[in-house]
Amino acid sequence: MVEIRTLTHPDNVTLVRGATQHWSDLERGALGAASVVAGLISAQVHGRCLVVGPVDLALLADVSARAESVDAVVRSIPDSATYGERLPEGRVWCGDVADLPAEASGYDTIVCADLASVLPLESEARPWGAILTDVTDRLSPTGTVVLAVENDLGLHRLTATHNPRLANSDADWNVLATWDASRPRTADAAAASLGGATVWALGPSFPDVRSARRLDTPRGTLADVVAWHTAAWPLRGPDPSWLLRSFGTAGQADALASGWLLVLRPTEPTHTALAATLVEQGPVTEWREDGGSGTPLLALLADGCASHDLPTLRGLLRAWREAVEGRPVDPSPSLVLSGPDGMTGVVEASGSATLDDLWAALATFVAIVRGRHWRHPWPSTMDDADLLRAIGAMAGLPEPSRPVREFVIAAPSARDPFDALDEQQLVAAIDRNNETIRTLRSRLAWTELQYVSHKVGDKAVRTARRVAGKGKRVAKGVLRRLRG
Amino acid sequence: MLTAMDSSNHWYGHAHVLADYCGLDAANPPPIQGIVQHGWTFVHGYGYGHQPPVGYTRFAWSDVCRRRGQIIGWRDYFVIGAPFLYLDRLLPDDTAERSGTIWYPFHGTVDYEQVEGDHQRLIDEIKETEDGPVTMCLYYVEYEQPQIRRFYEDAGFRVICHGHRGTKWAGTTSNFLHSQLSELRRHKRVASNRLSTAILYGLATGCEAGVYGDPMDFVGGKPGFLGEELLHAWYPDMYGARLDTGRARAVADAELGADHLLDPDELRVVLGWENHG
Repeated sequence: MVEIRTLTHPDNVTLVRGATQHWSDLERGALGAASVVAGLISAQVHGRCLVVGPVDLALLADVSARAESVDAVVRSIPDSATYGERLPEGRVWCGDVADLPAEASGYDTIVCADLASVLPLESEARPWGAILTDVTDRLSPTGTVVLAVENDLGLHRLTATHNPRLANSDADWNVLATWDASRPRTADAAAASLGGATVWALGPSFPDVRSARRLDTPRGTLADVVAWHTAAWPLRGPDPSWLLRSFGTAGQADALASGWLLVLRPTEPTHTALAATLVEQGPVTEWREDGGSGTPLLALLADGCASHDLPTLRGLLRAWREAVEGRPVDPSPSLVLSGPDGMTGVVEASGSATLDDLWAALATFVAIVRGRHWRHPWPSTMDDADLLRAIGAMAGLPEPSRPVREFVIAAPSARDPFDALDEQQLVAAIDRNNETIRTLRSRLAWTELQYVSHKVGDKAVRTARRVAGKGKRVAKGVLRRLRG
Repeated sequence: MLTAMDSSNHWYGHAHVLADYCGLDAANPPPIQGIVQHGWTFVHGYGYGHQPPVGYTRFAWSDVCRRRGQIIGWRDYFVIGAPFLYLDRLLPDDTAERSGTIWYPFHGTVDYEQVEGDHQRLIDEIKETEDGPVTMCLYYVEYEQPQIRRFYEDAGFRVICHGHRGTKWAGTTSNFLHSQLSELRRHKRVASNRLSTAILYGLATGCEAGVYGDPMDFVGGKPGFLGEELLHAWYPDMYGARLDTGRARAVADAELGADHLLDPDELRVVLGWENHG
C-alpha cells in the first residue's frame, strides 16, 4: 500500500484544482520512453512549449534543449515535483489542464501524453473530446500539437491477460477513462480529432502504448513488419500471432497498433526523426530500416507446424541456419525475414551468432509452440527438451556446448501460479496437462505391456530351463543305467 | 457475516441517525457491516491510523474518496453520502427566519492533535467581518477548557457545543448531529478558519459561508493530513470571508455525496440491517 506522507514540491510548481496526491504516472511508464518515438516528438518542438501529462524524463530534457521555454502540467503531485526539478526555468502546474491560469496559453508546441493520464482523479470525469479541447485551447493559432492516443482496440489490449473492464489495480480508479464515445478508435478518427493531423502508428507494445518500442512511417507499412515482434512478446496472454497474420494479410495491421502519435502543425512534419536506423529498446537493440522485405520466419514456421508440413519446416530451418550462423545478426526466427532472395536477419547483434545462440533461438521457438499450445507435428510423448532436440536436428545443428535440456524455457503453466492465468491460458494449460496425462497413461500402458511380456517371456525361459534341466538329469540317469 | 461494529460508527451519532432513517431503533443501532466515514477529509475518507481491515466495507461519503482510496491500494468502498444529509432528509426544516453567524473554530482531537494560536486575533477578525450576532461553536475538547470558553464568552459571543464524539461506544452524544442541524438552520451564515466538515454541513443546510481568519497551528497533525496548500488549490471558491454560495454549495454537495443518498430499503441492505427491526 502507498504510504501517506507529506508531499513537497519546488517553488516553480503551482498546485491547481485537481492536483492528485500519492500517485505517480511517471512510475508507471511515460510517453516517449523509446528513443524512436522521442525522436519524432522532439523534432516537432519549437518556440514556447507546453508538456501535458507524463513524458519520459529524457524526452523532457530533449524538449527543454530544443524549445525556447518549456512549461508543464501534470496531475500528480510527486510527478510535478520531479518536473519542477527538471525544469528549473519553467513553470509547472499540478492539476487539471482545464484549470490552468490564463498565462498558460499561446504555446507554439504542445506535447501531450494520452489524455487518460491527463485527467486527475480529483476531477469529475469528462469526455475525451472535452479534455482535448482543454489542451488545444492552450495552443497558438499557428502552433504544433503532438498527441499520443492509445488505441482502444490495440493488440496489446486484445491480448492482455485481463480486459480493462475487469482490471482492479490501483490505477483503475476509472476504468471508463478511455471508453467514451468521443475517443478516436481508428487512425482516421484520430487524425480527424485534431483537424487532419498526420498519424504515426505506434507498434504493438507491452504493457501499453507508453512503452511503445517502434514507430512506423505514417500509415500503411505496419502490416509488413508487425509480426517481427512476436518472439519478444510475453507468453502470457492470448496468442497474438493469428491476429497479426490475419490482419497483416488483410492489410489492416495498423488497426492493431498500440496507439497513434498525432502531429498537427501548419506544415507537414519533417520525417527527419526516422533516419536510416530505428533504435529500439528491450530485447531488440537496433532495427535497420533497410532490413529487407519478406515474411517473418516465425510466421512461416507457425504455418508449417499447423499444416504438419515437415519437409517445408525442414527446408526453412536449414535455410535459417545457413542465413544466420556465424553472422552478426539476432537469429530469433521472429527477426529473420524469408523473401525472394533468401533469408535475412534484420536485427544486428554485437557478435556473430554461435551454435549455442542458434539453439537458444530454437528454444524460444519451442517455448512459443508449447506455451501458446500451437498445433504441431511432433509426438505428444516428446517433452520440451525432446522437441528442441528434434527441431535442432531438423535444422542440422550439431550438439551445443551444454546439454540441450538447459536451453529449454519453461512454459507459462509451469512458471506461473494458476491465479495469474486468464481463462484462455487456463484452457491452454488444461489442454497441455491433458496431453501430458494422456502421454503418461500411454507410456504406463506400454510399460505394463512390456513388463507383462517380459514376465511371460521370463517364465517361458525358466520353464524351458527347468524342462531342459530335468531332461538333462533324466538323460544322465538313462546313460548311467545303460553304462551300468 | 461480520457482527462487530467499529466504534467510530457511533461517533457523532452516525449509526443512530442511519438507524432512524432506516426505520430502526435509533437508540440502539444494529452493528453496521463496515465502517462509516465519520468526517470530511481530503485523503481517503478516514483519519490517520484508522485503517479499516480488508473485508470491511468502507462506507464513504463521496466517490472521490473511493478514487483517493483506490490509488493507495484500498478497495471495498461503497458510497452512501454523509449521514448528516440523511438527518437533513428526516427532519423537516421549520425555521422561520435565519440570523447571525455560527462560527466553528478549527478544532483538535482528543486523541492526537491540538490547535494552537492567537484566539484574540481570531476574535478581532470575526468582529471585523460579521455584522450580526455570532454563535461560537466549540468542539468539546476546547469547550471543556473554561479559559477558552470564557474567552469567547467575554468577547460577546454565544458559546455552544454540540456534544461529545464518544469513543469505544461510550460517551457519544447521540443527538450530536441533531443539535448541529438545528443550530445551522437557525443561522444565516456558517464560518470557520479552516475548510472543514461544519462548513460543508452549513452550506448543505442553506447557509451562506465564509472561511477566513488565522488558521492557527495544528500541533501533532500527521504527515499527509495537513492539506492547507492543497485545499486552497482544489477549492479556491471555498476561501474568503463571503463565498459565492452557488459555487460553494456545489462543492459541499459533491464532498458530502448529495447525489449518492440511498433510500431506506437499500441502505438497510448495504449496512447489513435487512434482518433487523
